[in-house]
Amino acid sequence: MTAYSSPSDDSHAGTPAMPGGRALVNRTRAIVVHASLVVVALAILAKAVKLQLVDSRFWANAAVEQQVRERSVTPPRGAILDASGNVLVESRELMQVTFSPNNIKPFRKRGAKRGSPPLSGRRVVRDGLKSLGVHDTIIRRVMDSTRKWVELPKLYAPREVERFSGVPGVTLKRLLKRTVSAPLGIAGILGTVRDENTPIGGIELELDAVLRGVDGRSARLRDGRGGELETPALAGLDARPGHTVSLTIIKSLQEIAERGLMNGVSETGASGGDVVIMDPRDGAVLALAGVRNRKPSFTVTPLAEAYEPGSVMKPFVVSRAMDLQRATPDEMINTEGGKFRIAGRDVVDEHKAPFMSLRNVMRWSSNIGAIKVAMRLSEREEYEALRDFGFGTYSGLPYPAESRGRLEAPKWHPQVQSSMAMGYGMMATPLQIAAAYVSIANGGELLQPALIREIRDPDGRVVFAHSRTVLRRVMEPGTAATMRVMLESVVDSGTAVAADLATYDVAGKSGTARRKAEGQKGYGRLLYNSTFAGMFPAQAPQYVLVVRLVDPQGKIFGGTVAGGVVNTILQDALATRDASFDRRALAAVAKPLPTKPAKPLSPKAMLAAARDTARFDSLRAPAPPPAPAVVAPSRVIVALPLRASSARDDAPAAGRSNALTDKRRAIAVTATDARGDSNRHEPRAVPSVYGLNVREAVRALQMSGFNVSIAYTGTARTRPAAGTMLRGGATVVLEASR
Amino acid sequence: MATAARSRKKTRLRGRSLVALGLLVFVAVAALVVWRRSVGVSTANQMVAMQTEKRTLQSERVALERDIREAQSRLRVVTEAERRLGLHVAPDSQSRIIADPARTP
Repeated sequence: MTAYSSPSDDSHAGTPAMPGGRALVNRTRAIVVHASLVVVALAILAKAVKLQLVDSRFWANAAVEQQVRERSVTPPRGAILDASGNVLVESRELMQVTFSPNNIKPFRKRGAKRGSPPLSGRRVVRDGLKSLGVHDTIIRRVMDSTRKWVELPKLYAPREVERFSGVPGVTLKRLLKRTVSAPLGIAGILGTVRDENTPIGGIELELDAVLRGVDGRSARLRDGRGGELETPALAGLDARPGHTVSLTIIKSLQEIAERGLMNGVSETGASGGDVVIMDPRDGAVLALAGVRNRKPSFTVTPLAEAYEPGSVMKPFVVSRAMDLQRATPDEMINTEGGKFRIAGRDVVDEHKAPFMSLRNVMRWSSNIGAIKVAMRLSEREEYEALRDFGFGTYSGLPYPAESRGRLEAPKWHPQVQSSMAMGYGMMATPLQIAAAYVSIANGGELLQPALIREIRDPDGRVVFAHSRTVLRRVMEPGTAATMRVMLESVVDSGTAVAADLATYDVAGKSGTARRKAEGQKGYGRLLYNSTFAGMFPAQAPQYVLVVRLVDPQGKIFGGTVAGGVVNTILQDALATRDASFDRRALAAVAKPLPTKPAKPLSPKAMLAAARDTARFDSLRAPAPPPAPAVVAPSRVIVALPLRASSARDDAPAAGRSNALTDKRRAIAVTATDARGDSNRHEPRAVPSVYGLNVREAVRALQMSGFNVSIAYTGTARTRPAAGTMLRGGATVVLEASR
Repeated sequence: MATAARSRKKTRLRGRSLVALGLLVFVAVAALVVWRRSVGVSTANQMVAMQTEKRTLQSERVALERDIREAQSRLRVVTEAERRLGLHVAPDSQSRIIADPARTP
């Protein structure tokens, strides 16, 4: 050990080491050593100063880069809903699994006990892939340790691939993918999304800016083993999800339209078809469906494929002639016995007549009559009429592949003007036809078709809401009303009776047009476009429907084949709760039900009715409350108790109730068989249903020979009251509380 | 002298105690800091695990809701009702819409 002389020990200063004593360090050497140490210390200090003060920012950033990992966070795309709020498309996290086969090694599970044997990574991977149902070929590839990288072709739910977590050589990546719950027919209008956020076509592309959302950032601390840790000290930026887009499409109606179209295609042997349903009150598109080669079409053919529509175009030319006072509904037009030559071409009518009123021209779809009316317009006027109805222009719906059809401006070939009156020489999409019929249905206003009902931001605030947008008035309200009446006659007794309903009036126009064969000149043999454009109900339309069938076999007429599809769709929609009908308005325009004469009761049933009547005698029932004159269910025919005075003798127990008979005149009581033979339908007393539940009450009334109509009004009584004499087969309204 | 030596001895002991106490406090504070950080890290790990679980469950929810929607869709229900139960969609002549008299203006 070296001893240093103390500075205070002056006796040994500057002297050599004493013999036999401890060696003393030379003072100079000590100074050098001390100086060196000081220099080193100063150097360290200087370096520290440089690191901590001068280069501090640089090194702090370097440390952050090493210890903090920043990532961009992709927000979930906004959902797409239907008009009722049903989800059509939304984002879902799925896992992409990739393997690095040469790195799959034994491993210990996180949290495993110390000393437990390691798991075989290859076995875990093999078992996991088998449980996922991965094909053997891919499993062999993953197990091939000479390969560097194998990616599974499918994406899996996180739970399905949980077992791969922590296995060396397996990488799990979370991806946001779109999950579609929409009917097939609107897949095209929705579009798709590639990767996580790259839209392809449809609404996804058109509204990408609002659906995409705003990317966020997350910052996490990294530990020495590559683990990551969130810390409040590193505030990230939350990703902002995309907006929610609500369409005007109604999912249930869409399904009805698709099913109706598919059935229509298969029943008529057509190769394809289109359906468009619009709401004439606000221009909303409620359903769109297309079928090609008997399969749902991915392209939205009702928007993308224009065709020569045929006679469904007649109402537009005729209504313009009426607006310009060049034609009146009741004027007689010479239809030339059904055959007429114009501009070197023979025109024939399917329903031949020497003269027809303009109403019948529409009812029977007379080509000659329509041409003669069209010839009263100039070329320019006819062109402007069709252009005003929206033909030859884009509808404005957010669909990139929409067709605008074809409508050429004059000067036309001499045949063109007459052809256009019949729906030839121009092309239109089913959507354009529907939009034009919307204007007839709503009193003459051409509305902007709409596919987007509402857009809401992630906080639920409405940033866009569809409102009825009138583009222009295309006909006078009076002309529109007259045209609707004309079109009603087409369905009730004209060329499209197949579209008619038993309880509601339908208006519409059929069209059967020859079709050009693909790649050939001229019209093909037996190639037709059969179309029906309808309005429902005729009095105050809530739907405008256009159905087109391509190349139906056998029956080809639009009124028959396409009209039949419209009929099916309407019947299905009426039987559906959420088809967006204003049912109160429908009830107001419903036709009386055609009812069959009631069957004469068997002696046994008569006995049962008498027994029930006696059992529930009205005298034992509490007096019914005074019946106010309420508005009856619209389709119930009012009929009165028959010869109440003569019946009084037969049913003395009903005396009290007879006094109320006059009051009941305004009440909805139906004698559905007023035409029937009174012998067959003997007047009888309405039994009391006091104390019975609804089922028992219905049975008691039916056993007494009455039809029963149930109305849930909150009260419990029959109308008319118990004891009132009615014919057998009459309808008694049973009011009940829910 | 003895008193002075005793008091010096006492003072020396007190100083060592203080040092020991200081060390003890230092160790305690250091242990507390380490413990707190460990708890923080553990909690953060749990939070990450829970967030992962939440996203997994949300993904499953989306898939299940889609399955429910498909099962409830009219296309499926009507087809099955017709096939299994022999039901049919009521035509309009078999269904009646009755206006609610109480609400009729």
